[in-house]
Amino acid sequence: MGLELLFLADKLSIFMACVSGFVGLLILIYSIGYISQYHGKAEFFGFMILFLASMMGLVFSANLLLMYIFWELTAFCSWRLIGFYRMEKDLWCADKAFIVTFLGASIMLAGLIMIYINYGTLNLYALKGVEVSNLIFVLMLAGIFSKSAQLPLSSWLPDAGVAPSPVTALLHAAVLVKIGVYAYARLFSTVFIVSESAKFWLLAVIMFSGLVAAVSALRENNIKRILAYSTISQLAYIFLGLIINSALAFGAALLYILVHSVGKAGLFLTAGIVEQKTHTKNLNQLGGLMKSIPLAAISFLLCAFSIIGLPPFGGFFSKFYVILAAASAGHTVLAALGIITAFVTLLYLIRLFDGIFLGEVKTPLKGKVPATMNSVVLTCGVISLFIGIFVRYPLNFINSIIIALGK
Amino acid sequence: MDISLFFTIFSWILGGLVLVYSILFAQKRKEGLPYFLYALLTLICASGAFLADNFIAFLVYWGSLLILLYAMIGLGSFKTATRALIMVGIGDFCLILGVAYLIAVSGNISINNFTPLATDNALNISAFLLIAVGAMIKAGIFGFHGWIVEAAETNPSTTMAFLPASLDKFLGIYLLVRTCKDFFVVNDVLSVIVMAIGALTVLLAVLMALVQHDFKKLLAFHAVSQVGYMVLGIASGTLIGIAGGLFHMLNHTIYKTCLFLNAGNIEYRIGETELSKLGGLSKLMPITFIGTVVASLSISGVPPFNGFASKWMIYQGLLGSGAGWVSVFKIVFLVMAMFGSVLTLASFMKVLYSAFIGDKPKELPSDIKEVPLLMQLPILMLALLCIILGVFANSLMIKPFLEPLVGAKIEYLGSWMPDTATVLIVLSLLAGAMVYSLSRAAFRTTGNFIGGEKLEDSRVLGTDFYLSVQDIKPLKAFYHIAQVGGFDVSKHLTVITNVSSYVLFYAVDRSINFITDGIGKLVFVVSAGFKKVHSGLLDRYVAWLLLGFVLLIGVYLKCLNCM
Repeated sequence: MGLELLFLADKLSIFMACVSGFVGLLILIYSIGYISQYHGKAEFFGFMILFLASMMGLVFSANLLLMYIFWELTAFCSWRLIGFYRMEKDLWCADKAFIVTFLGASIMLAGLIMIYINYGTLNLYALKGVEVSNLIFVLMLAGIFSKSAQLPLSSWLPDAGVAPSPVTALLHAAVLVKIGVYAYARLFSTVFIVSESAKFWLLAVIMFSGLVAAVSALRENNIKRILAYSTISQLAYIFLGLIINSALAFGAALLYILVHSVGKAGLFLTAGIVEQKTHTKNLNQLGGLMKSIPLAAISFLLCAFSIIGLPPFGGFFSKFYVILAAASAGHTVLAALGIITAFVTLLYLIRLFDGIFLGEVKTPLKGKVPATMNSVVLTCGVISLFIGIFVRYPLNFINSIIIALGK
Repeated sequence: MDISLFFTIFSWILGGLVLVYSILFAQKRKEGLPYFLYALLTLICASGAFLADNFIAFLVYWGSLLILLYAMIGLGSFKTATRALIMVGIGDFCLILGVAYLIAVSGNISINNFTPLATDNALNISAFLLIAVGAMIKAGIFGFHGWIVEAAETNPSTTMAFLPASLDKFLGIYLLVRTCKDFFVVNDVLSVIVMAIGALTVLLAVLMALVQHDFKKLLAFHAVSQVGYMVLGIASGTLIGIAGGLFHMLNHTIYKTCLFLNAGNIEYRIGETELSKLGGLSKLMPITFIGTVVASLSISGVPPFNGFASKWMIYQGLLGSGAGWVSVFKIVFLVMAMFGSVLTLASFMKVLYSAFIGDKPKELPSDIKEVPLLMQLPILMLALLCIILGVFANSLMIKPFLEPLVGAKIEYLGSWMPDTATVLIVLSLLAGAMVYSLSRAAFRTTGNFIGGEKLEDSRVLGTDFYLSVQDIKPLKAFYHIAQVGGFDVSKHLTVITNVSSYVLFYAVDRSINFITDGIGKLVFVVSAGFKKVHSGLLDRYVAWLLLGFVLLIGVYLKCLNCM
């Protein structure tokens, strides 16, 4: 029935696997220090590893049904991980995340069935160059939007911030939300062909979603919810690049995946340190932590600059190339929207930094920060900077992906 | 000479002088290492921005300067640094978008081999405006000046002399010249718009400077107001105007750096730059006094100092060619600029009187000494430059540097020969001195008195006198708006963002969240019904099994009948 155990390791999937594997590793190292004071370590690490493994399976799948199986496996893992603390509210958030992503995935399954009925196969090799109808496109997008948290299926992501911070970093920043992005890159940028009019509307929805998420981050006071909204808004840029799908745009989107994974993981993990050591996530109750955790503050600032998109950090190149590609493709208004969203990003990330690290101390730090946690966040910050300074090396690899895909 | 090289060389000379001055200054403030690290990195990145031939490399260097600015201002206060980051960040984002449009339109990423684009369609015009605004915000125009004034309070004079006084001007004006000259053929309407921004900056900032009573804050407002002249000259579109704008930029960095370093001397020795608490320093700190006098006269555009030489060129540029209605605007801007010069002189008279000439307040110790030689040297050199570049403007600056830069011979409308004029000015001063000494006029020094009675504490505060400006009718409203931050454009933008964020957050995000929650709850309600069926009792399950079996049999029998 269309299911074959068919795996494919081309440069695109290797790139995805490397990025998510590397960031996943960093997060696991961080978790050693983080999770040591809670019960259920075995469950935690078990599900984390299973999650990463299914991510690996997903990026290498060359069969749509196989991909779907791994897709749901990640949803299952994230369901258990979000509700890790087993509080009443946490469980509801976990259920909500599961229900929304499952709903999206089920609609996507309908799309898969239609593809199977129309073309008789779910093998990605065989489907290459097929022009799919708008209906199938929309059905598949429901799955992608729910996983990558774009409007109108985005509201589970901020709520899922109740999870332990390494989980949020893994889910929100590095891996889970990138599944939808990867699926789009794999299916609609390289395999299927979609109509231009559908793409136009998609672009409008995506950029609107990015702007709404960015301004929502300005209104939140919970540090992890702010970062979650930031993720939604940054993913919009990746989609912008992928949907425009010129060589420049596609490359920029891939670079964006790398930069955003590292930068946002660093932000979430720093927020994790703050949350664990002060027992509060409320921005109004935080402040003045610069003196007590200077390393975390510097790492936070480095990652934040990268996410905002200021040179010479990696985020500048990805954001600038995406916007340049949009302007070159004639989408000047979208390019302007992208810059406005970037400005809002500057506002809320600086507000977050000022709120946590500057001003007077409101909640003092309890306990020492383990060296593993500090070194991981610092690594994220430094890598964010180095991607920008040595941008040639990631760009070389991305160029070879683009050439291999024949763009 | 290449324009990139011109900016690079002079930025290192000016920056170097400030750094030499900072050696002793920073020692006292104990923030040496990060300050020098950021300062040198700033110089390096600025040179990168000047020399870059690739738009993307240019943006990288330019944006790195924003981070360095944040770090450097952050040494004083992170609150100010945040403001600077947001204000200059707006400019940088405008610039990034403008450059993206520029590359998208032209497909060319080389700065030096760029064919100027016509400003005749919406996309080109918006690209021009975005880049020009980015350049002007970097240079510090009125409306985005808040961080400069705030930094004057929280940061030492050396940082002020280094960033807003010299390097930011170099960068902003470099980009503005490139934009108006090499990237775009500017049409009349755009030219008038940019010139209007310049003229308003001159006038509004100088009005603000007039009522300041802190030496550094006053200088900060002048650092804003002087940008207006440069913008006026460059946007006038005439060659002499552009050359004048460039010259004025250089002159401004010289005298403004000199002024900030003088403020630094006072800060170094007294630890206070509030003018009402200073006085009588001319005898105690003579070098500082001389430096301030020379630089004040320069900034006010008094001949034969360098400020006059460049302002004169800018005025010439405004008087030059132009269509009928454009020249009307140009005359208006010219009058505004000249009025600005008058007010500049007025505000520096206040400084000279309050800090140096007026009576010394009692609280001030009498053992104040002049600063060490290493700190005097940069000031003396800058003051000397003010005079030399003014007197020998033609032979030292216009002929060797500015004419090659604009690529044409610079012709004045009237005749102004600064060297001859200087000789005449010096001669007339000498003649005056001779007449005075020959006349043997008698004079005596006395304290202030009213009705023949001497006053005990009779210090007349220069600052109070100037504050009365605020009570003039039309200006009253202006100062009131300024007081509540009405001229802070970035503040308005932030407020607009906040208001629209409320709307979008509740109208879109929260409502979608509400619907999603509803669907989620619905799932639980439906599944609660099924939950009841699963009671865990064996007999119930057996009953369900039997029921299902009976149903299946029924269906089977029915199907048998059908066949």
